Amino acid sequence: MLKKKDEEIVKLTVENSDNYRHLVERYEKKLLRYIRRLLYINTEDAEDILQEVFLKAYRNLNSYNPKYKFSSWIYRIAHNEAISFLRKNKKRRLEVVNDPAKNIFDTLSSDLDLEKEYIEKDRQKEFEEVLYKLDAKYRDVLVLKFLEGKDYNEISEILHISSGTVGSLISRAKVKLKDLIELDGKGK
Amino acid sequence: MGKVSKNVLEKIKKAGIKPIPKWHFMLKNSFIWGLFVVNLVLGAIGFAAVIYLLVNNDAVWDFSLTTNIFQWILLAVPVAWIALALFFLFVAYYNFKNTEDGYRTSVWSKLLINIGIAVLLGLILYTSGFSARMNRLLLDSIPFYSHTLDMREEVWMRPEEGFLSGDILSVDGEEKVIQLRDLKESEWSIGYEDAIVKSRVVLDVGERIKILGSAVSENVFEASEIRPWAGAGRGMQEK
Repeated sequence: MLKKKDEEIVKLTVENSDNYRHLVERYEKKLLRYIRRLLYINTEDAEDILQEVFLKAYRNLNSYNPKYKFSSWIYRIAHNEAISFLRKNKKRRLEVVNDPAKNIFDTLSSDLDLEKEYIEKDRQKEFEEVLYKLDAKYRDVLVLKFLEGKDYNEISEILHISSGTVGSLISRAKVKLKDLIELDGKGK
Repeated sequence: MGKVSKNVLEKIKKAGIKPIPKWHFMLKNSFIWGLFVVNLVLGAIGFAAVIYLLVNNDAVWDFSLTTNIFQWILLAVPVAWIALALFFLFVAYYNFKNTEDGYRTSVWSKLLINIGIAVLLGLILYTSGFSARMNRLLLDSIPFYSHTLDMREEVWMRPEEGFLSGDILSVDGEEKVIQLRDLKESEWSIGYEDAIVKSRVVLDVGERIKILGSAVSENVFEASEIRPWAGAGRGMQEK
């Protein structure tokens, strides 16, 4: 089962629900990390959202179209659940947590050609806070591209926007992030 | 196995949760596509009506029939039909956007596809004569249609401003007088001795005509030009 593709496991799950555990196990860590990166919330809240994601995915398994990647499909559900959580908890101040991703600065900062001081670990937290000051639409694409390592096509499938729009959002997001970092640096 | 995985699988087993059947999603997709097609066709019908009314309303081309730009917009531009056509096109666009692959097409492409199909279909409906028949049917069956969607009757029912129209009751060829029942059911005597009668006009009982001139007294009108009801005045030669 370990070597089977997601799409094959989906087929097997429709026939026998016990096979769903392989998909759930395969995506538990990835999606938990994605939700936390997207919302900047504590693990408990992220786990509650993730549970809903898996239940929703199971109920809607027959709507999955195998011509697209299963990972994009389940990431989309996770994205929608995260947005829905954000709407419900607008007034609540979300707890700021550390992002465990180690390569965030390597990938983002080199791509953005940022000053070296931002790459240093002791400023990771500041960097993250700047990232979360961005509009959700820009943060979404940056998280998917640079933290989740998704390509344009996958991002397009997850966010349900055209690949062209993904490209321009990423390019604008990079400019906005750089501006914010420079502004943040001047303020110190 | 992680905590979440365990919880999820237990919940599925305990609550007996089952995947929603495939036909449910197929029905939903078909419904969205169906709505898209219906709204696109309605938008096309709207465009066909707009084309028909623009082509067949004298006030569109003949600015002497209106006194100012506001009156021209009110009487010549089929605003209500344009709004209806755009409304249906917007709904069609929204349905298209919500189809499974709708997001893959850019906004401009989606708009172009929608407008392109609706205009093309609208032109086909217009040239096939559908819009003329539909307009006639709506005029006959909806009382407020001639005051809201087809303003041609409003253009030609302003006798005090020199515009009159109606059906011929009788024609006195020697005295050059026509008895006419206007579109609001009043009867008029129309003198047309000095009038220009356009070539397509048939001065027979039952024919509907449009008359330019002036109201001489109550229910007496002196015509300076007589036009056929159908057509917008262009290409009509004097008799």
